Amino acid sequence: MSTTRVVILLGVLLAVAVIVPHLLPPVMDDWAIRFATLLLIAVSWNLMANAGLISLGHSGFWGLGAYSAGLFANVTQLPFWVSIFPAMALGAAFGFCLAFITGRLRGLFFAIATLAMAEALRVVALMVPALTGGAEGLFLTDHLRPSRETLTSFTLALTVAAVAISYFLSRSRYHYALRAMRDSEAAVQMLGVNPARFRIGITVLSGAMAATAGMVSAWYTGYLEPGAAFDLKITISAQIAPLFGGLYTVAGPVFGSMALLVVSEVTRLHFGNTAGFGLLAYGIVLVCGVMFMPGGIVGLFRKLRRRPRASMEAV
Amino acid sequence: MSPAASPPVLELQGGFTGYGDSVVVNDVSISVGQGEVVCLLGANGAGKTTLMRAITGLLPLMQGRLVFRGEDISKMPAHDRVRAGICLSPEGRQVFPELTVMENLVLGGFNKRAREFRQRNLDRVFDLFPRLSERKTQAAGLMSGGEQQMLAIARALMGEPKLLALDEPSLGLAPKIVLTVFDAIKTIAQSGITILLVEQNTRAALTVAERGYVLSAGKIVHEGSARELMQSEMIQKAFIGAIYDGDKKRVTRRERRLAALAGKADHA
Repeated sequence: MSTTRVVILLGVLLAVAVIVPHLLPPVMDDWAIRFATLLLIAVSWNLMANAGLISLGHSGFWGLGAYSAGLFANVTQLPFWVSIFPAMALGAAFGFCLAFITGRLRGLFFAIATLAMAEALRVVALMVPALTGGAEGLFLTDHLRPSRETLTSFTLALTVAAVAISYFLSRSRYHYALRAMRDSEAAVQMLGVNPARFRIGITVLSGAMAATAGMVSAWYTGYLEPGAAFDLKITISAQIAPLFGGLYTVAGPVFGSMALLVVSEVTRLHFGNTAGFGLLAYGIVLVCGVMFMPGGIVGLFRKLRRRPRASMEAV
Repeated sequence: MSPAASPPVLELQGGFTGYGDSVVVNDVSISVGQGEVVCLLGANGAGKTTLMRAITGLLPLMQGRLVFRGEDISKMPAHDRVRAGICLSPEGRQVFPELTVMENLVLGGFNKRAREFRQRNLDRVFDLFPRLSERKTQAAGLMSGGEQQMLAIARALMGEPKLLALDEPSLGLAPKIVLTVFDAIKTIAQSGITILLVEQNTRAALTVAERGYVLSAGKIVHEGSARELMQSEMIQKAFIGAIYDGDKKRVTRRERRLAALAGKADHA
């Protein structure tokens, strides 16, 4: 696909994202927002994973985004969409700290460090009630909250932007540096790439992206509480979606988020009354998915089409 | 060419380096002149690769001065040294197994200085290693060891080197492939690129190198022209004699093979 066609496609998607929510019944708006926030955090997680950085700290970005947006709006009383800037700034700043502090940690060690930092943020949110409301939580100023349709449009537009960023990054030369870092940072350095710079860059981008998802969810629920804003489940779903859809691919998080939403809705509707059974079914579907489609949904498509590897002549 | 004829491309003065508390390279001074092919010889554990790591910046120098093209680069980080012109084909190849041959090569030319020469360098390495041009879209990890070694050298060449550092290019390769690889190194040298070669395969190394240093226990114990080293008692003792003590029969066979190898390389 040529770049012009991709740009046109993105424009169309953006228009659809903005218009369609106003035409949908409320329950579909709810699905759209849940899909979109999941997609944002999945794309964000996938970007880091592509560079070999397995994050268990995405709930930290999410929570920071949620709290910074809520507190900012409550203090300044500016329209809801302005709060995306402090959310992204804080998410990016946290990403920078994470990359800076973890230095050259890799694999499991990096994952554990990110988990610890996200958990630490949750505890901090609990321990400073003067700022965050502590365990009692924090309400966002009600009259600033956007209508459901507006918020859905806003969020879907964000996801189009996130997927676009991920797509253009995958076509750039940086992609190869990041992908090679996954194999060996030392070997990449021998080719004249500064791994520290790329590591910080991708974590900052990923952090800012994940924080926007937290910001949206804060406006959607209108209420924040450390246990929910820094929930480990956020981190888990951020990695299940790309895994299920196709790890390290651009389309993977998109298909994965859709599939997860469908699976969770179906299991909830069918087994909703027997608590826990829905989750069990959900779990079984995921395990089967990972076992029988190691390349995820994207991998399955590729296998069916037997497409040869993309040519590098264009680079 | 004698090293004194022109200012050296690379000069290490009194270099010490190692890991943690253990000093592996002990007061080593070497120099590589413009267009020269210099080899570092030595047995297992002599410190050859450690010295190479210090030169390419993967390991800091504990003491000493490293000068590259008139600039003190002792403190320069590894990725900047690539931009300055030191490109390494590392020990054990270290190609990116999941990336294609082409992607590996493009990554080799990632640094700013090399980017504008990408097409020329691609043509050059495909000319040098036709095997690679047949396998452009193949994942590097699925190629044979010899092909991966060619790729590692080609990837370093993509970086537009002013000094090509080759660490054990013969490691783990069949004798026939070693010949092909060393033929390629000869061609590279003839094109005027300065080469620093680390090798255990002494004879093969001395067929392409003009000069050599012999490392033992982290110190330079001998240096001289390739011819001198080839005939030196000390080399015979250090690399062949040591094995003689053990299993005579095996060594004679090994020796015959090595001799044949050196002979063939001379013809090529």
